[in-house]
Amino acid sequence: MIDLGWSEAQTMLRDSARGFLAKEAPKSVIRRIESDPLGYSPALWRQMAALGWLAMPFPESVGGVGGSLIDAGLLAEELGRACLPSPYIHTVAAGLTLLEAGRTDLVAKIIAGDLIVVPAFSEADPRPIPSAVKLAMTPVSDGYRLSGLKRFVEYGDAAHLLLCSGRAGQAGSDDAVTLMLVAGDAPGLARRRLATTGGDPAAELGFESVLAAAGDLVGERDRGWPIMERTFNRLCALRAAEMAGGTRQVLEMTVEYTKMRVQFGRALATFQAVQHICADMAIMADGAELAARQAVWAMDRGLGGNFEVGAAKAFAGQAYTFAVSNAVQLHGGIGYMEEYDLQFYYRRARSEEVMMGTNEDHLERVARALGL
Amino acid sequence: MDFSLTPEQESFQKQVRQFIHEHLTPELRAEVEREQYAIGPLGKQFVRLMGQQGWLGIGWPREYGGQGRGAIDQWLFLEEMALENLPTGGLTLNSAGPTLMRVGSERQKQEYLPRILTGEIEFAIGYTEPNAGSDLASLQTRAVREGDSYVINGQKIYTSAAHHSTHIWLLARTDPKAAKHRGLSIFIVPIDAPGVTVRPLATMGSERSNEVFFEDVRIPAGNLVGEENRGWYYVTMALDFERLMAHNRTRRYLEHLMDYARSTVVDGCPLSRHPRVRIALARLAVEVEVLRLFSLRSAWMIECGQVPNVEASVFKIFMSELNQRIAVAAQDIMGPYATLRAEDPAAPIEGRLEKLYRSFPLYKFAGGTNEVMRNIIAQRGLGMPRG
Ligand SMILES: Cc1cc2nc3c(=O)[nH]c(=O)nc-3n(C[C@H](O)[C@H](O)[C@H](O)COP(=O)(O)OP(=O)(O)OC[C@H]3O[C@@H](n4cnc5c(N)ncnc54)[C@H](O)[C@@H]3O)c2cc1C
Repeated sequence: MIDLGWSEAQTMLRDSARGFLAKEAPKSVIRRIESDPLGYSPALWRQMAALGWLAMPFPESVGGVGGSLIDAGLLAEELGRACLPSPYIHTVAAGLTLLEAGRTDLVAKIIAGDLIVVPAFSEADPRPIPSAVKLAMTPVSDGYRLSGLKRFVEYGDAAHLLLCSGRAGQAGSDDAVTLMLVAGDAPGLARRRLATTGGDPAAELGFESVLAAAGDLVGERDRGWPIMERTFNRLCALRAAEMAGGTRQVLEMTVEYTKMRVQFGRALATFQAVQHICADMAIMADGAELAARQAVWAMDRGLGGNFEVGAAKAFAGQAYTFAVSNAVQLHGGIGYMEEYDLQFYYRRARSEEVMMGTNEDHLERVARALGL
Repeated sequence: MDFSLTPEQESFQKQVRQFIHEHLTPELRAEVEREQYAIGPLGKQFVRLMGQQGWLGIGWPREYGGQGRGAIDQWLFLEEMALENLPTGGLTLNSAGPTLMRVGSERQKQEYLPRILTGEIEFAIGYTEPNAGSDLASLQTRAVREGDSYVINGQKIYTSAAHHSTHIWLLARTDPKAAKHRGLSIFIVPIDAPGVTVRPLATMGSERSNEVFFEDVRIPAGNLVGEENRGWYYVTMALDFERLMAHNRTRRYLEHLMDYARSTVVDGCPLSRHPRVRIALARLAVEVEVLRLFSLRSAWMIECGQVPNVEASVFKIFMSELNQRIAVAAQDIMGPYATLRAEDPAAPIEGRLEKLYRSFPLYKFAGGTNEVMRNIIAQRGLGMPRG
């Protein structure tokens, strides 16, 4: 039965999450996190674990709370509203893949807040397509030797564990991708945080003869593409939810500001030119929210999701950058100042729009899903 | 009708290029990229050098030490400088200076004009206040006459050049009882006058701007520009001198993006050969050409003795929104590489298109917002009634 609203329990979760983030993650904290080499706050991470956020999408049988990806999506919206850098969506997406691969030992650590796992899929050619996966995984006596480069891996330098894609076979089909877990401190792994617009910690990972044990394989050798695609779709659906949350927040900030700011003897919000821009932002915010929620729902239901996720990531990306640039415009000078909160969203929107597949990459996925 | 330059203009353009070629060192280039809107020590040196060669006053009348060249020559000069992102003396030279020539006292002309031309004097523009942006005429900074002095109290904000200027070109209220446009005056305030405090403001585009506070700042009455309470009229006049605008800064961003597309190979061929990229770049190139024509039109109108008013708004809106479209195209074409800042070793084209994303919003509201500019086009240009 169609129901586009949150349940009562979800509404309570949303309110408590919003309250928690408002109290514990004000912009002063975010400013500090952005300049911290770690790129996230371990203290906040532990609090999030204590609140059960990391248990959210996992079944009770492994220590989870038996919620759903939809609950994680709801939290992602709140994280987007707060603009808090955190490896939450990454760890949830990778964690579900580990659960499916039978690694309940690792899932238990995730739930306890002791393990951060992030997908490391993107390389020098950052497109989310199988042919862009190049990292060499050469079979050796009891495992694999990894050589190559990953780039634009969010939280890649702080994560304890990386879910890496690579190629273990001889030149096979594009889809012959292998997934492997690599410890963040593995010998031969050089990690460097990139300096990005968003200030969110994307990293470059250099692999020089990094050894991985055979037991660290996720799924079967050369058969990793469907797993990678599912992980990526979950991640992007949650990212779309984050962006939808950011879009909504920026719209609300702008409406509030223009109601307060007086020029020419009246509130800016009384000018039709200002109202029309806000109305356009509202259309995009609504669209981003609906598309993101549908994408999260589709992944929760175990549907393929290529169309829904592609649509959500592309539309939410467009909506978020549309909203932030209009928000800065309607704030005038103050919105352009470093000390004002809007600039966090302005910069983050750009990074989120292009990481994990650009709008065009996702439109390409939509075209393929349409059979074009 | 003729869209071509005269032979004299062409040779002047070559001369400017030659000058730039001789004096643009790699160090200066690096500083200019870093500072963007401010002027660093090498930039100051360059401005002074231009002053020595008479290049700063190319548009100024000969009686004030200028070269008395026409608007097209000035435009050519600004375009060449903009193409290399070089400083040209800014509003001091192109707005405050010409205003002083018209309405300044003889003493002011002698004191300031020659030193503006050598680059020794620079004004920061002190118009905007926290509560007076688009509605500038509602500003509250007060200047009160006391004997031979004026005493100034109040606050300005976004006074961009204040940290490297010698003076503030200040708009303040002298008659609080008059209608809001009628009680304003312009003053020249030395930046080191007792009671002036400059506080830095950082922008998300990594520029520096400032807040300036005035606490019982006493300046000689002779620092009033023109007549008391005529300030609004002078500000409008000063704006009319600013209507000559170069388009080449925008062209430069597109050229960076084209360079990236030519040198980045994806799926076995350069991005510049991918149909979607070609069409996107070609569309932007058409718009940059239209922008060039908008700026040429303003120059031509001034050359003919007209004041491009609506036309300047057309240019400014189109320029600022084209900068935004180039920043958006950069993210489509470069993907996550568009987010790498200049300091990252993997950043393409020195991170310039990354920086464009963080700074394009400025062009859309500084010096008059696009909404206000659209009102001007509709009301003055198209004769539509005020709302
Ligand atoms: C980096 C930077 C450098 C600057 N440098 C200088 C400088 O050197 N000297 C100086 O004096 N000033 C400077 N400024 C100030 C700049 O000119 C102002 O920011 C600008 O005039 C807008 O004013 P505001 O910021 O108060 O915005 P507001 O006037 O509050 O406007 C906010 C929004 O409301 C909209 N709005 C306002 N009125 C209307 C209307 N009637 N109809 C529809 N929409 C409307 C505006 O378009 C804008 O989108 C600078 C600003 C910045 C950010």
